[in-house]
Amino acid sequence: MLAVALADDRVAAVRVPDIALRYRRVSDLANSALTAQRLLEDALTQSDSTVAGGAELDDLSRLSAQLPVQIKRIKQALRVAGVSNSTDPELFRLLNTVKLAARSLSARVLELHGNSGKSPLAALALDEQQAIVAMNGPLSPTSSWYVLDEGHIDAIDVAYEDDELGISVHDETVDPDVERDPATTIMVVKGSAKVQIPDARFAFLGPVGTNVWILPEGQPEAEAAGLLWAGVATEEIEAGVLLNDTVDIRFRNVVGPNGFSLFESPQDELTDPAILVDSEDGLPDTLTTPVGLHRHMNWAFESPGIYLVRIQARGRLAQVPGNPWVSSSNAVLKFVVLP
Amino acid sequence: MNKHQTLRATVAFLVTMTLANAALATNIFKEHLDVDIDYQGGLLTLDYRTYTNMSAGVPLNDDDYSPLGNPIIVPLANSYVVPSGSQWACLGAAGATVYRLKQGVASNEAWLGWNTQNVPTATFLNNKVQLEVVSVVSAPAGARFVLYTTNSFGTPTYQLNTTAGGCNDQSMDISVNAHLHCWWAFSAPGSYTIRFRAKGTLNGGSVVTSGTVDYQFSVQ
Repeated sequence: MLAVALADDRVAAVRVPDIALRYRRVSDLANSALTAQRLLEDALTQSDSTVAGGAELDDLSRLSAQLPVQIKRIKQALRVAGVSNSTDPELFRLLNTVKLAARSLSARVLELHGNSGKSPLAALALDEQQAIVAMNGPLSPTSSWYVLDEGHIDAIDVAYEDDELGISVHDETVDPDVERDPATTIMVVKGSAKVQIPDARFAFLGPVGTNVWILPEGQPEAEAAGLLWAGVATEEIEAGVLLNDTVDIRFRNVVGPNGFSLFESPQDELTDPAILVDSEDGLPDTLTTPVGLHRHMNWAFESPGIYLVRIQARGRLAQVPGNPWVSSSNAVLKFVVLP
Repeated sequence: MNKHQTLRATVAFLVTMTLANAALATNIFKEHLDVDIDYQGGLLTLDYRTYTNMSAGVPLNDDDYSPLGNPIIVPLANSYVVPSGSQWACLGAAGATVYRLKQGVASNEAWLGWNTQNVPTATFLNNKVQLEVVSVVSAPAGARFVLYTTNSFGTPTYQLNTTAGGCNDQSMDISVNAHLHCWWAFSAPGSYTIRFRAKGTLNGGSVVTSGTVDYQFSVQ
């Protein structure tokens, strides 16, 4: 996994804005892309033999999710530097190679999920109930999945404790409620979440009449369909800690078979919904949320399959001079959308 | 009613009015709060639950906050024209104006939900309790109150409705251990006092009720 971690760092280094500002730095960029390509190939080779699941799979997922965004940033950087396909075709060929490698990695990650008998993707082929039982079994000696498929949860619960921001899944389907680690929690979107896109207001989810899987904002709807009723909570951040009493929840990358969105229910059938996050119009998207709050919204998935949603919470400390940023580590939310 | 009872009732009335008037001057909610049903020690209670104390006089995280003398302001600016279509008929005639507290996150105004998180599971029949409108104590002439939710695509479902006739609905089922938000719609500007009661049927079959509680709303 060392190679994967290294690749992650190297690719991240490409972001440094200076690189893009002057044409003479483009060779650095090319070298970084070359390194990224080589390490990606390493990662792909390694994943054939050694990746079993759990943390390693998470690493790979993280990397594959991050790469398209990094590639987009490199392209933006090149645009700023005035480098075009005609001025440096070799560089663009290289970028394209990295892009293809990134796509292979993403496909490989999904495949690896499917190869484990207890993995969510394999479960898609099983009867839903069997699948849930299967997924509750241990995945590796050190981790086991916890599967949530019905009832009230806060899929994102941001807390500020011990001078740190942290993200958990707040499970209120059990009494007393429990905070779960997103790394080992699977949120199931049952087949009963499938609805048809009613009209052009929801074109961001796909063409009118096509299927979309929605965990609804409204509790009555979620309950009637036996679905998770998923919200976002910031109740464990006290007032006065963060600047403006808000925390940013950043949706950094989504890996999945199709688009992922968060939107608010419109007030009637004529009003446009407020789109909070849309993986298909460029990430990151930021959900700036007041602290001390608990809210619900619609969680939309455009195809069945596994979605890995990488998020991070951050805010600025209100009581420290200069209001420095404080950030959580990344959390990868895992959704399994059943057909 | 004898003289003593009359006197007592009058005093109680005056005290209530004084509290209400005093509160009107200070507590204008600009924050999240819920109509709160709790079940503890065999008692079903009905009041407000607060979260933040952004507005003067509002306690922090108080799940026994009295609605008495704490009217909720529904801003006139929250006017909404009832759309056409049969699904909207129970909100009002197409084109009529109603005034609403919002289902989605509201800021700088009351964001009113309901909350049964302190009602344990496996206690009440079907894990449900009921919120009932006992009576509309006072309201502008002919005015109506409608509580409804909209789904992901904006289609309404009615929960409570004081409109006369087929739309009338004086009782709604609420899942226990739940917290959610809805539209609170009023058909005219002015003050409303609506008397609610919480009710639940225990798994054993016996029915428990809270006392009646008056909630005040002011569309202004």
